[in-house]
Amino acid sequence: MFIAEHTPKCHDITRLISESLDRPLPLRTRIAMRFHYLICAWCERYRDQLGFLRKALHSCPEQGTEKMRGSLSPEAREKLKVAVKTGKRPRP
Amino acid sequence: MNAPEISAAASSPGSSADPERWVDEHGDCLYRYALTRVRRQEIAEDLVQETLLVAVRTHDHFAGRSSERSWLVGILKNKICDHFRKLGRETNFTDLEFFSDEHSDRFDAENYWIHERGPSEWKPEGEEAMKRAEFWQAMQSCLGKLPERVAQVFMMREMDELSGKEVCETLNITEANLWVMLHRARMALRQCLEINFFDGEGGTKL
Repeated sequence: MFIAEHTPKCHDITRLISESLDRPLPLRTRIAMRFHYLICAWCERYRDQLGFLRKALHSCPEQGTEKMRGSLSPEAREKLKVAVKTGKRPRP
Repeated sequence: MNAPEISAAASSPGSSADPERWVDEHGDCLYRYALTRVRRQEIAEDLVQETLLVAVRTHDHFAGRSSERSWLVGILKNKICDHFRKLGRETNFTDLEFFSDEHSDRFDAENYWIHERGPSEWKPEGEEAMKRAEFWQAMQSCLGKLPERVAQVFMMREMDELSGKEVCETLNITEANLWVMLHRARMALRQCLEINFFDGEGGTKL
């Protein structure tokens, strides 16, 4: 209970977890977060899951797109081939 | 950020550009990435075309230090940033509904997780999930549900890997605004993937 009373609540921790991915947080804040994880498996899990999302998104442009839906239409594909062959944008 | 098109290294002898093969091998992936980012077919097609034209012009400087795919993706990322920079302030910035505390139903009155609504254990785990097409298709659809401006900010940070400062400069937003948008985007995306892909036990299901 002592820890619960002296660290931020989950709602604030989720915000801090996100911010920690974008800027260095003050030491005092990071310590408070560590203590919070001792009593809260949900926030710890939340942190790990955001970490995973970051990793997945980094690999998305090169690898994830292999498995996504949607393709160039045959016309668009043809247009691209003409464009790269002539080095110019095709005029409509 | 990196600018692959001005890499100064010489190309290895005998490596000749084959742009038509690029269209076949990378066209769909480049297109899907562009479409995820700009959400409009014509603009996505234009961006892919501009990317390939830059690639044709600069192929001599591509030293093969990275894969062909990441070289092309790098060019596309620059094109996408230029696109959003030019768009500047034209886009609608207010997604008030998204910013109202829509996840408050997951926290109790004291702002702790409601236990049965907290993040559930994810299965399959990370590496395994990333091998599955269903994961990426859920990702695609969840990213598509983010409000447009939030999506621009979020993907520029996480997929183009610009620093927070660079995102702010490119899209002309304040840092405080940036953090709020990233936080909300992460929370929404996490929840959406949990519901639509991961079969955790604690999560609420649709």
